[in-house]
Amino acid sequence: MIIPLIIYSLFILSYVAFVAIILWHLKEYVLPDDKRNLITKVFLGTIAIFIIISAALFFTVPWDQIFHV
Amino acid sequence: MFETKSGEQIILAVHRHWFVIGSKMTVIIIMLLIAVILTQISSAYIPENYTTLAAFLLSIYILIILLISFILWVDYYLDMWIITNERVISIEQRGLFNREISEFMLSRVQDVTVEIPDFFATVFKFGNIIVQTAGEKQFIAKNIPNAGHAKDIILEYAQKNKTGSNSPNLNE
Repeated sequence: MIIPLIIYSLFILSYVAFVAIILWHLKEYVLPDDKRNLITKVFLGTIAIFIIISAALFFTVPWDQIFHV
Repeated sequence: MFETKSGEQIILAVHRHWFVIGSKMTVIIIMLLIAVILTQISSAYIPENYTTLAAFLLSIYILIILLISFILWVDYYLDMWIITNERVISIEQRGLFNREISEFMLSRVQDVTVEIPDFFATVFKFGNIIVQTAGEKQFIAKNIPNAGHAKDIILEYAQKNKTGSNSPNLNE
């Protein structure tokens, strides 16, 4: 369980860092009052939902059984 | 961030046509569907312990695909042409950390060409705008929606800049 947890945590951390870089670019370069900003919010919402789903699935996977087979 | 000079007003800010991002997103959706279908089919053949693992790996795959499509969206979204009453600014995002911003004064415009390159451009009404300035560089804006309208605006304000009456008519 420990090794998958470390790998998964590193993945999520680098993922969130990447998303933060993208958001910084958008904040820096998007024109004010651009209505397409809504699509960015949809992306962020979907990513947040899938991070929660993947975390929930991670803790339901029987890692010990899988690695002892 | 792009900033206007005093007395300068943005007349038109255009991104590439939605068809450009739409075609890339279609490929992304197909990749997602294939993964979901493969997971569904394989769940019938793999042991029960591994079905949650398969679902977990699918969620990771979807996260990666989402990140790729987010980067594609940002690349599309930050590419733009801004036409003001004095100049045209071309902003091209090439990946996350490579960005090219070039501009030319409308008073230097010599020739504007609109090119409709293919079948899809004809159907969805977008095209390339090629602007020849007094300098050597040629400015090309690819896949611009209503390219003819953008060309008319460039020519109109180029003419106004040359005659010295470049204030935007907000009633138009």
